[in-house]
Parts: sequence; C-alpha cells; structure tokens
Amino acid sequence: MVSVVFSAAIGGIYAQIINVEADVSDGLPVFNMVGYLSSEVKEAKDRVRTSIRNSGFLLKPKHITVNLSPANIRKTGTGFDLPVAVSILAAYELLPQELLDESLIVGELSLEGSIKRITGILPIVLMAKEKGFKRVIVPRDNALEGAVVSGIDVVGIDSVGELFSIISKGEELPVTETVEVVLSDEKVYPEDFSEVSGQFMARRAVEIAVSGMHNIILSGPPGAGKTMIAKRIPTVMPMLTFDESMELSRIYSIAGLLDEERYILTARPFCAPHHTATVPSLIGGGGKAAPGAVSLSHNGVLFLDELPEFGRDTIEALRQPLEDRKVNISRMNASYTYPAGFMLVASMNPCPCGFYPDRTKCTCTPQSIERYKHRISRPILDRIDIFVNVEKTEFRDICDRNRGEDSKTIRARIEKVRQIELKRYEKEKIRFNSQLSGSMVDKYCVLNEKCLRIMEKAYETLDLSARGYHRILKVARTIADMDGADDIEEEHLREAIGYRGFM
Amino acid sequence: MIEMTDIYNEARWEALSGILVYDAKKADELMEYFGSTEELFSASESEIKALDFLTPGMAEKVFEVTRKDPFSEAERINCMGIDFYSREHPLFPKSLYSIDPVPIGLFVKGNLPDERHRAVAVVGSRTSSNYGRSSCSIFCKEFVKSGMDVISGMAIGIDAIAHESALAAGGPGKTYAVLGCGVDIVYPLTNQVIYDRITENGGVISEFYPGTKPQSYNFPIRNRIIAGLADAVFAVEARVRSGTLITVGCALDQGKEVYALPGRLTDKLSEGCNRLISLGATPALDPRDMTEQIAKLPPRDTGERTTKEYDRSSLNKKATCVFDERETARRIEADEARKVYLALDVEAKCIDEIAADSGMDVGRILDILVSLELDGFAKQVGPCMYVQCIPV
Repeated sequence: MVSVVFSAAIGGIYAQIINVEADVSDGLPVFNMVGYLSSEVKEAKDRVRTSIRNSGFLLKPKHITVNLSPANIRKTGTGFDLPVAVSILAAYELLPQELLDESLIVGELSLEGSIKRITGILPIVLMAKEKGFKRVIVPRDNALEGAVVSGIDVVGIDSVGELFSIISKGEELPVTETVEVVLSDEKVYPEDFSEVSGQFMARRAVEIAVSGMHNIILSGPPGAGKTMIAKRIPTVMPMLTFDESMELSRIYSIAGLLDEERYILTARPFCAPHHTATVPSLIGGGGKAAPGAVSLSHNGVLFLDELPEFGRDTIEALRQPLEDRKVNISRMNASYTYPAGFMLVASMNPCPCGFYPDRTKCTCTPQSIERYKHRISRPILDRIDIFVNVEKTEFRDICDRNRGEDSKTIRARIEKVRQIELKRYEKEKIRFNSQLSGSMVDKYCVLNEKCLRIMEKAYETLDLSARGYHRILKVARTIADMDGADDIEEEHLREAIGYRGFM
Repeated sequence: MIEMTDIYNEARWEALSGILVYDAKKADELMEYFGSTEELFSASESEIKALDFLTPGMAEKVFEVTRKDPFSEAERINCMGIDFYSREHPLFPKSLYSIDPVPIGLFVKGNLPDERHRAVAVVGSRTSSNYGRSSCSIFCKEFVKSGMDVISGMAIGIDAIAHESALAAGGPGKTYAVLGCGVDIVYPLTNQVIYDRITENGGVISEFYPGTKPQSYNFPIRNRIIAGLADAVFAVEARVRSGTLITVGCALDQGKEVYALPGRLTDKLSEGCNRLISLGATPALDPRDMTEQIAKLPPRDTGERTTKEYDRSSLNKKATCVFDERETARRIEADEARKVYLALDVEAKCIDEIAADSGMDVGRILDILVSLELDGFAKQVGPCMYVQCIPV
C-alpha cells in the first residue's frame, strides 16, 4: 500500500511542501529512499528504522520504498525523519491515512524514538497555514515557535510512540495554545539611552540617523562610549510591528537561533560581527546558504566596531545589501534571497592611536592618519550619510543626576517622523529618506533660493562630490521632518552639511 | 659671462659632487693640493692614490671620476632641466661660503634665490597642530607680501604649509625648497603639486646628485643650507630633539637670527620652540614687526654676525596682532554666531564642549558652525569637530 505524508523543505526564508510517499510491498526486505536527498536525509533511513523498532513496532520484513517529491528539489535538513517514519507506519496501515491528509509533519528522530527540535519551524507553519492545512505536527521543543501563528493547530509531540498511542486511542491531538505576540512591551531591551551621560551631539546625530534610517559613523577616542551608544540605537527605533517581527523571526528560525525562551523576536536586532568576520558570515552563505549578519540585523542595527580594521573584501560585500536592502546568495543547488534592511552603524578611531586631534596624546603622523582613513573602502563611505564625533564624557556629565532622555521619549519623536516619511512615500517603493534615489531627491528635497545659495557656496568651498551633495540633501530632509517643516530651510541644510564627515 | 673653460670646470665640479657630497671638506684639501680641478683631472693614478688625506676607497672613486668625460654626464643632467652651480660659479650664493662645510655645488631646478632679497627659513615638525599650521601660514604670507623669500625643506607638515602659503600669497617674494635628495625626486610624493609650482615660482635646490634617494642621513646635512640661504630662521613647531632644532643649531653656528613661535607649556609640539625662546630666540609675535626687524639685519652674504638690538619703543606700541579673535568676531553680525565663534579655539573643539559652555542646543550650534565655515571663520577638522579660523 502507498501512503502520503506532507512535510516541508526550507528554501531561503520560505518553506515548500514536500510529499513523503512510502510504499510497502512484497519482495526482498530492503529499505530504499529516493528523491534528490542530501546525505543527512539519506541517513534518515537508519534512524527511522531503528526508532520505529525502539518505539515498540515490529514491522514485517517487506520491500519499503520512500520517495520525497517533487524530486527535483534537493532535500536537506533533519526534519524529514518523522514524516518518513509516519509515512511507513501508514503504509503498514498502522496509522489512518485520513488524519495525515490534513496534517503537515516535521521533526528529527533519535534512535530511541523521541523527536528532536529542528530549525525553520516558523516559515513551515506560516506556509502550512497559507496552504490550508488543519494542523502542523512538530517536535514539542519547537511548538512555542510555531504557536505564534494563529489560525492553525500546532501539535507538539515528544516521540513516535506518543503520536501513535494518541491516534490509535482516538484521542484529540494536544494542540499548543496560540501564543499572543506582545510587541508593545517596554521591557524588551535591557539597555536604555538614559544610561548615556552627556553626549548631546551624538544623541542628536543618532536621532536624525534613526529617523531617516541613515547609516552613521561614530568616530572618537577609545573609551569614549561609541559602542555604548551604538547598542542603544535599536532601543530608539519604533517598536517592531507584527509583520516585521514575523519576517525577522523567519530568518532567525531558519538560522536556528530561536529557542524556548526566545521563540519570536520582539526586539530589534543588534548584530556586531567581529572585524575578522568572513564574507559568508556577514552576507550569508556557506554550504547551506545560511543567512548572514546582514540578514540577522534586518529591521535593526548592523554594528561594525573599528570599521577600518575590517577586511576590504568584507566591507565591499556590503554594497549590495546596503543598496537593495536584501542579499542574493547563490549556491550550487539554489539561489536564495534574504532580506537585509539594516541600518549600518560603524565606529572608528580618528587615527591609529585613537587620540587625534589631541596632539598631547596623539603621536601619529599625518600620513598614517590618512592611510588609516583610506583603509575604509570609498564605496561604503559613500553610503554613510552621517559622521559624528563621540568625545569622552565630561566629568560633570557623569556626575549629573539629571540623566539624558530615555529611549521611550526619543522613540516617540522618531515614530512621528517615520509617520511623515511613510505618508510622503506612499506612492513610492521606499519608506525612508535615506532611500531616496537621485531623481527622488530632486522631487522631495526641493531647495528654496536661499538654500540653493548655501549649497552652491558649500559645494565650492567644502569640495563636495555629487554623491556627497545628495547625501546632504537627504539628511536635510530628515532634519526638516523632525522639525515638522514641509520644506527644507536654511538651518536644516546647514546642520546637514555639518554631518558630512571627513570624506 | 662664463667662458668655455669655466663650463669644463663646472662639469668637473659636478662630477666630483657626486662622490664628495658627504666629504665636502676633502674637496678643500684636494684643491689645496692640486690648485684647480683641471690639475686634479689630469693627475696620474699613482699621484691620486698616493694622497694621504684620502682613504684608499675614496682615492679609487676620485680616480675613476677623473678618467670619465665629465662633460657628457653634465650634459645629461642639464637635459633634465637641472642647472648646476659649483662653489666657484659666480652665481653661487655668497652666504653659503660662511657655512661649514661649503657645499661643492648646488643642483637647481628653477632658480637660485636672488641674493638681494631678504629670506626667512621656515622650519617645523612634520606633525603639526592646527595652531602651528595657521600661524605658519599667516607669517609666511606676510613675508612674501613684503618681498622676502621663504626657504624650507619641502617635507610634509610645517614645511609644506610654508611653501603652500608662500605660493598662495603670490609675491613679490618667492619660495625655495632645499631637498635631502636629488632635485629630480619628489619626496614625499604628496608634495608633487608644491614641487611643480616651486620649480616655476622659485626653485628646488639640493647639493645631492640628481637621482640620490631621500636617505634619512641626508636631511640633517641639508639643514645647514636651509639656514645658510636665509637671513633668519623661524621655528614654527618643534618637539625637543627634532630635525627642526638641528636647522636652528646650524643657524646659530652661522650667527643667524632665530625666531620661534611661542606655544603653550602643555603642548609637546611647542616644547622645542619655547625652549629656544628661553635660550634667547626672539618670540615671533607679529609678522609685520618680524619683517621689519629682518629688513634691518646686516646683509647675509658678508657673513657678518648679528648683534641683537632691542628696540624698546616697540614695548609701548600697539601690536598689529593677527590673532585677535575679538577683532575678527566683530565682523560676524549675528550675536549667537559671534558667541559660537569666540567659543572656538585654534585647536579642534567638539560641539559638546561648546554646548556645555554656551548652553545652546547642539543642532543649532552645528548649524551656526557650518554658516561660519562657509564664510571662512571656522573649519571642520573631523566629524563634528571645528577650529577657529581667520578669513583671508
């Protein structure tokens, strides 16, 4: 008899239905598995056979053939163990086929028959809901992760034996209660901006940067608090929406970064890869084309500490995600697209020793300072809109009991600006001022006569490039939005020029 | 008018300078023995090798040079646009006869300084503060405008600023660079633009044979020429134990007037200059006073030593001080902008500091600073860091 069980394979951040067919017939007792399988799926054969036996089933020696279709998709991962086992049991007529028709099953098996957690549950459950399945049977460890999706039964199961006994006794499958996703909880971040004393310039620059999703560089001597500020940038971003959270959780789900404690992302991510990071770890890739840091920081902050220390190739690879807000990863078997809409925050010392322009401490020669700056690839610098200096906090600021504003207050202001941007770009494909293209800059960043004169003067005296010109206009647009102004005024433009940095 | 025989003499000196540049004193001894280069070049091998004041290696080199045709090599150098003036050439700067040792000759791209002009050697460290750079620029422009030449070493830092500002001032004074390598070599390469402009508006000078690499031991040697070509030496910024102080030492040996830019006690880059002042160097307080004082010095080609004269009347005189920030601030109309301008310093200041002093909002300060920058009153030297400037 032939049985069919539905399972799923992950491709990129999306799941796809895989039919697991099992046929049991007379003939020599062999167990064959076909359907373009990777080695971990081929190994399922031994795990399945042993775990079925250890779950208390004695199968008659028959000719067993298992096919995973469609056969042109490469099957990877360990999630096929359970559906293969269930499919074989159904083919032996030990489980009813009707029950299986409305279920999607995933899970890894151990030799004793217990079911172990797998990665990518969230995209699988979302896909199953979309395709109209009644339930998804998942490892119990993964149940919470799947339960954030409402409108579909998520059944967490511990072992093959448990599944069999529930079904054979005609009991109801234990549905995990849908988890209410709470995104307005203020306690999602352990850090808060009120912990940063002083640093008013950096605070202002960060607020502008987040409001328009501008990439920003924090420059300053060692110990000035660059990392401390960077870590608090996600806390002033608007809270994640449900859709954003789902999109992000999908990525974390397939990267295997979700667990019982964190089964959904409620906080905006902050990724800080080390400067020795390789291109695949940053962009994504490897044998399984896994998402990299740029995708794990989607909707959040990618923080590159000590930017000049990063390898040139690593940094250059950021160009595509910075431009497109997504990455394409092509591997032998497939090409995946992961979202990569992050805000780039980088820190750097002003010179190799870190103390320039404080000449009492800095002993760097002008050439070594130039060389240090030139270590950062130009194309990346062209994509950074705001440069700000972070100086060591004054003693009086450290002692000041009246701490700076907290994240909540700043966030409230930023959310207002984001609303303005969303409304303005309703008909465009963009959401933030930083995404304005050349032609859109002409349309949305109109300068009045006075501003034009300022820009003309700045262009000549400050030696701006054409790209620098556009960056300034985009930042000016954000500052004007923060001011609630419809048009860019002189003061907005001049302040924006001040953030142009040393390039 | 130089006669044909002199041209051969020049070529012979030129060839000798290639081997004797580090032992210019040997040239004196050779001339004492042979009387002229012609005699030396026609001397026999045994005669040269028998000279007791030459090491065997040196004698071998001298002998080899005398066997070659000096004229063809001189021709080749000349084709590169490089002139050579031996110590016997009528145009060789007279003031260099009083330095020790007298250079065998000078390779020049461009022109030699006009000896009728007053000249100031401007020296300073390669790493410089904004204070040093802006002061150097103000002084050099004043020198050139009052018809004095600016002599420096075309290194990066203060040297480059000195040449740059001299070139920017336009004239009538000119600027000359004395190099520690061949005049055909631009070192460091970042000074290519300065090099090109100096060769057209002044001259690049070196006692080293064209093609000589910029070896570190060349630089202290050339410093005596920088001092020798000038009436006075102006030290802008120097740490203690620096090349700048070597040049100043040469100047003192030559009996030249020394000026030093005073700085703060806490500033490492000013330590050398402040010590010079404590030793008796004149503090450079006002470029105009300085040009006037230099104009009164005895002519440098006589090698006559200066005797310091203190003009007590200047004590009561109101200085035409160029660093009067309050005077400059009067040119700024808006009150807030003037306040921000006065809060700035000649050293980089970050906006948080200004905000703490003035109580203004950081965004507003940045706005004001950019407007000051566009008018030339301020300059951004790092992300959101500004220095005070005086618009030209």
